[in-house]
Amino acid sequence: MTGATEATISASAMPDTADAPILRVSNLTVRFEMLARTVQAVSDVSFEVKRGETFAVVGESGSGKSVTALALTRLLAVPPARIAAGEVILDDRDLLSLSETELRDIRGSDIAYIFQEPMTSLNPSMQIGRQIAEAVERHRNASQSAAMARARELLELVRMPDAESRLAVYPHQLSGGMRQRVMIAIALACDPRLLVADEPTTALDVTIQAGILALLRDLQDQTGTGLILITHDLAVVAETADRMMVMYAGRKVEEGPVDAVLSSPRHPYTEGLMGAVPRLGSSLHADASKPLAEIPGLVPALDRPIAGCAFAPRCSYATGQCRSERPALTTVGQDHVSACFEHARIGTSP
Amino acid sequence: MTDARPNTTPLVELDDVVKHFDVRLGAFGGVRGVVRAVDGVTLTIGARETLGLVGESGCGKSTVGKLIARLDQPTSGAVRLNGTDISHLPERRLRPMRRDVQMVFQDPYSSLNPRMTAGRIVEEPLLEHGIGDRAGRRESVRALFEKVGLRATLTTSYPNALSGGQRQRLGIARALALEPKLIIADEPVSALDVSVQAQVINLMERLRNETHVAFLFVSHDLAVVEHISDRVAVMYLGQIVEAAAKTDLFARPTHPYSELLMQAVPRIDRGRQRRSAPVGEVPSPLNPPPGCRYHTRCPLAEDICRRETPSLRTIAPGHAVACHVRAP
Repeated sequence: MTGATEATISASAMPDTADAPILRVSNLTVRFEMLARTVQAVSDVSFEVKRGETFAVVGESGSGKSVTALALTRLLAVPPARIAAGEVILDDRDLLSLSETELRDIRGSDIAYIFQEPMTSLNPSMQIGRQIAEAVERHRNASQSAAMARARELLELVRMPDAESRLAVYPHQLSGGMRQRVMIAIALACDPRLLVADEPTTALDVTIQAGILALLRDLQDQTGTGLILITHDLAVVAETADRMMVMYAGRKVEEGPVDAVLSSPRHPYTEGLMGAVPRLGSSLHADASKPLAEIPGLVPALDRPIAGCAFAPRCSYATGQCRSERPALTTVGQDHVSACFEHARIGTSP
Repeated sequence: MTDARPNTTPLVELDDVVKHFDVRLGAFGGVRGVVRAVDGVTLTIGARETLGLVGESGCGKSTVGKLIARLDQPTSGAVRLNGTDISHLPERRLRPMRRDVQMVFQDPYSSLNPRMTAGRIVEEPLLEHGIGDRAGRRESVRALFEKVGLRATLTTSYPNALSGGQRQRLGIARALALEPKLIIADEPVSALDVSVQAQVINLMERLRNETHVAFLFVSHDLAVVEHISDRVAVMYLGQIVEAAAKTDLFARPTHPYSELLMQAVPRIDRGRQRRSAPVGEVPSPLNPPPGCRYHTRCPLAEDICRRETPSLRTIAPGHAVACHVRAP
């Protein structure tokens, strides 16, 4: 399990070392059923997250990455969403078959979420100390004063400067970065086993982003919590994650240890994403004036079945087979899978 | 085109430009404050040059763009276009000059009129300036669509039927319609998906090479700015802290804030990072620190930094830095 080396190192300090996954998702399929059409947003997606591990889910808008995250604890509005198939196993329990009441206990206490825009997730008319304390009370039978004391601890944990006095401020009095720290404090209120962070730094300035990512990494080292990091930014993945999964048009197209995937991508979409982003320091290289590698065309609509590989119309490696037959995930390296007939040719041509 | 220092009159010259906004604070709007959005900016953009303007939210980079486009007027200082100060020119005299400066905005969703067809959106600036007859304008629209890679059949579509990338192409076609000398692009690719972002960046580079239009490229994304610009200026709290040809800036970032920005950008090719978090947050432009505005976060700050505002000093040809310590 090469992808778990980091996780094993940090987990070795923990009392119960376990390479066993804390979350196992199998064959997850999510549809949005609307009057005129049905969109298959997530198709047959499987993955695992281990203790202390950061698992990145990468994709662009419409790839199904956020829907996957929300489906884990059935946070999608039903209807129009329907989880058509799959299992989400946490501690031998399938979350998809639990009652709403049972799930409510899971959300927050076992799996907690951090979203992109903290302002819309926080209550604008409630002091932040109270909001964190409420999260503590909801999942633990803590007294009000004990919950408030815990709120202060949590604000210190997320390195809020001057935590004590910040308990009484309202969200609008804080900067975007500080609001995101409050969201993380709320998410940590009940020591979740798994954090799901959906583009947690996308709305933040780059220096603030660096602070939040460093904070998430440190918290993970301290608590051993698993982290699902949903992002479009491969550079963020490179610096924070252990393993990664790339999604396209609702399907997993590549998965593996971050180092392996980014050093030798085995799906043309992963390769395309890597070439499409300019890199810092590019002007100092000989090929500085080279245009960026474009991925031509657009993502396909998901309201009708796609024959063959969904990426084929945009792919420079595509063959006749790719257009008629859907490639299954195959092993291309240690713990590394790709859904591409032409995976051996990636990196060799155009 | 790569020459960052034109020897004739620059296309755009900002001379000690200040823009303050009055704001009301407090629940009843009683307290007044002044946001120093732009506080003494001097810069030039040469003909055919692409100048990148980078900085974090609230640094004033978008306001600089608006002042050059005369969407806003400076509190003091001069904004010269081809040598003429446009900062307080009456609209009647400004009108012919407006043709020379066009804008492309971040959000292609809100900057296009949803009730106009795509063709009409591109034709509109021509109509407004009374250019060509109907047939001539139709031909211009067709040519502009082709230039930005939009199918001609899309002229009858409305913006909501277009993808994000197509809308941004449309915004670029509209900006090109009047054959401007300068396009101000304010975060033009920030709202786009990565794969579409590359298409739009390549398009802008190709158009620049074909039409020789100058660009002011305003962005928070250092890597994108480095890729597209000839010269780059870094802003912090309303002031330019460093400006240089891009290869000089990225090879030798000299202002401590430029260094911080470059270190903070995550990179795909240097592996997992266990670096410590950057120091502090940007202070409010409502109440900027005295002296060097960066001194509250600066590891190098000395006494003088807390007292005196450093001016931009040239440390090498075309490379200017405002720092008491690094460029004394």
